[in-house]
Amino acid sequence: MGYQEAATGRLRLLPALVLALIALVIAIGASLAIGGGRVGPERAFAALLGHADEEARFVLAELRLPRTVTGIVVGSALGMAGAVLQSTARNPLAEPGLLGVSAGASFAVVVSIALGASTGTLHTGVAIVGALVGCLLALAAAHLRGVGDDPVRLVLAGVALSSMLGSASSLLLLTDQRTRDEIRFWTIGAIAGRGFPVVLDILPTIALGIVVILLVVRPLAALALGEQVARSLGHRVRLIRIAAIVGVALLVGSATAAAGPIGFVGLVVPFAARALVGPDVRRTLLVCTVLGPVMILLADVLGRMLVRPSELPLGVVTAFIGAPVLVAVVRAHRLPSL
Amino acid sequence: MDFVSGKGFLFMGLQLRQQRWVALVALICVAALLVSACGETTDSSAGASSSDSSSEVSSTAATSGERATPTSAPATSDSTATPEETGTRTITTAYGEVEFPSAPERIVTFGDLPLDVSVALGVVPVGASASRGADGVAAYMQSHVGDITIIGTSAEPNLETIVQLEPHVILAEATLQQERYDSLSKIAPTFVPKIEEGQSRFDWVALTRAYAEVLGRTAEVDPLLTEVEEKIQTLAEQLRDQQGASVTVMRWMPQGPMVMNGNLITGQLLTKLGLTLPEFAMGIEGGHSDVLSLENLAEIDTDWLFIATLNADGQAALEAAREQPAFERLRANQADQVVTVNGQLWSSANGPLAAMAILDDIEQAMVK
Repeated sequence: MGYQEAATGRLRLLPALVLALIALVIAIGASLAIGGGRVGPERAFAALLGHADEEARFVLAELRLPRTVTGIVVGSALGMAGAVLQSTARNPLAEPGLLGVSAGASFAVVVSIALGASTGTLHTGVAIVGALVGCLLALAAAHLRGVGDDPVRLVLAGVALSSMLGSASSLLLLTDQRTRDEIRFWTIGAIAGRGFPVVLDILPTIALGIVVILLVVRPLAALALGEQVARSLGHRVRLIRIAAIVGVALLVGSATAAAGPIGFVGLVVPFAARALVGPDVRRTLLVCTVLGPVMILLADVLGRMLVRPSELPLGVVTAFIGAPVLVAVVRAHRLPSL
Repeated sequence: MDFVSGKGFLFMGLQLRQQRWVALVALICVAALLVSACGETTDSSAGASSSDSSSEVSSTAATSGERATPTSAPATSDSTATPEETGTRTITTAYGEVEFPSAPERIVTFGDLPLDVSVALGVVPVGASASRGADGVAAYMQSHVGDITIIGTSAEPNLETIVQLEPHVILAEATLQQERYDSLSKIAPTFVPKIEEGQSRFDWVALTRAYAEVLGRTAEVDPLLTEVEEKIQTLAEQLRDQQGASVTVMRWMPQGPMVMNGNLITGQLLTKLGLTLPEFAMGIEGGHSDVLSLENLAEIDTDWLFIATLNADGQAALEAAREQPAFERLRANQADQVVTVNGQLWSSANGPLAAMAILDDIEQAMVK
């Protein structure tokens, strides 16, 4: 691969990737070793080696391992989605939430709870469909005036749509007390108690999203050089953008379906990745795939430690970590133009 | 419907000339949304006015019953005037001394406890706040109050509805905020019970007596409390072979349980029956705990589990919980001693009627 020379990042791809992988190993270790309960790191590692008491074995195999796996899948999906979306929108502040994806998923969940489901029995398909529909609506709204494919317009349409879906949800919640009570536990994302069945549910759509994104990542990189350049290279700009966004919606919709809305990961992780390897989407995508789970897992571990014997939901912790990081980054650097 | 037209957006939007159509469709969607919202409000206000008249009937029926057995009004009331019109007495509330009519007929209640007490004492309120997580009153209360006017939630009451009901007295819970009190007390004398030094704010018996005093029905309250007490005695006898068995009341979320405060009326009743609640439940400050870590289920691994659901389909919630290995492992689950109960009754309701309903639930679940 010959992109290294053109990179403006501080590291070449390989060392950056190795660094990210080391961080991931540490995060996975922490997620398995540290919990909200009585099983400390020593007993956890004894359980890993196969000679531990029943409680430690159970906590590790049935509680920490499933949520760690969920965290890895959800984190990768959100990290990738963030990288692709920011590149597509050519805006370093674009977040999957801005596309109407999260609002669509939330709205779908609110509707299905209002129709009688409960948070415990909710099917993940509902959120995925909601996310896709939300995203398609945003796309459609951005094209309303038929003028080109302005990414800024897309983000604006997404924001407007998110507000509209948000108020539609509020309307339902205002008229339906039970839904309001149930939804509280869904609107803050968490990976606790989400196990292999949930991950299996979302794997098909995640895989589909990854395939779509892999198909468009090279043209997307060309698009970063400008629409004219991309056209002259034979790429169909509109198609690429739509495909990229559908891929993002699949990833974010699946992640949201599994864990509820988790903010800031899709925003902060690409920032970190760009700081490591520069703005080329082919490189940031790889790094984000690894850094996404790192952020999710570390945030989750923090959430388990802060309010024992209860736990802080993941969505709360990522917001707490993400918001200050975002402000710091925005203040410290001139925003890179993509 | 929205989604279908959304796909329309996508395809139509690609063509510049059809933008007016799109705008039109969007407008229709918004209009439809507004109309459906308005429809909702007119519906409920229509329901409100019809229920208004019917509850008026039932409350006058209740008061005529009251006149047949007059309760002794406190000495401050003017003996020459009819008590409904001019008789008042002063009662100490959380917000100071307040004048209340001696025999109020039109009552509006805020919260589950005053509603329960009023109904139990034969004064069906003309309006009541919705129960927690519900659009109306709690299910156990429904048959007693018919289509009572709902005045909103206790957090967000509809003051105009309350004004229209022309209440003589408003009964609120001890948690009512000053700001809310200020607006309510302009509509009618508002009673907020004062929690004395050393008195538990969970002491439902003392609070029941306090509301009964405002309603001018102190004589009727004792038989009511005795009835509850007798029911407890009978049930405790039936549960003698399970003395000391441990019980947890909780809501189950996929990420873990939210344990109900053991000091609430449910906990008080369970304790009186000779059952025990986990230490964790007794140490909770608010209504229920934060979501307890699944790793700490040992804290609440009791002989019996009562799972409160706001969803009518408790069985589905239970099956969803059983799919989780952490839940499967609980002692109560393995002994098949998990019971789903109505969340409004078990986590929010309070008062003598609630006590009877909760005791019925316990009897049904635990007596073999």
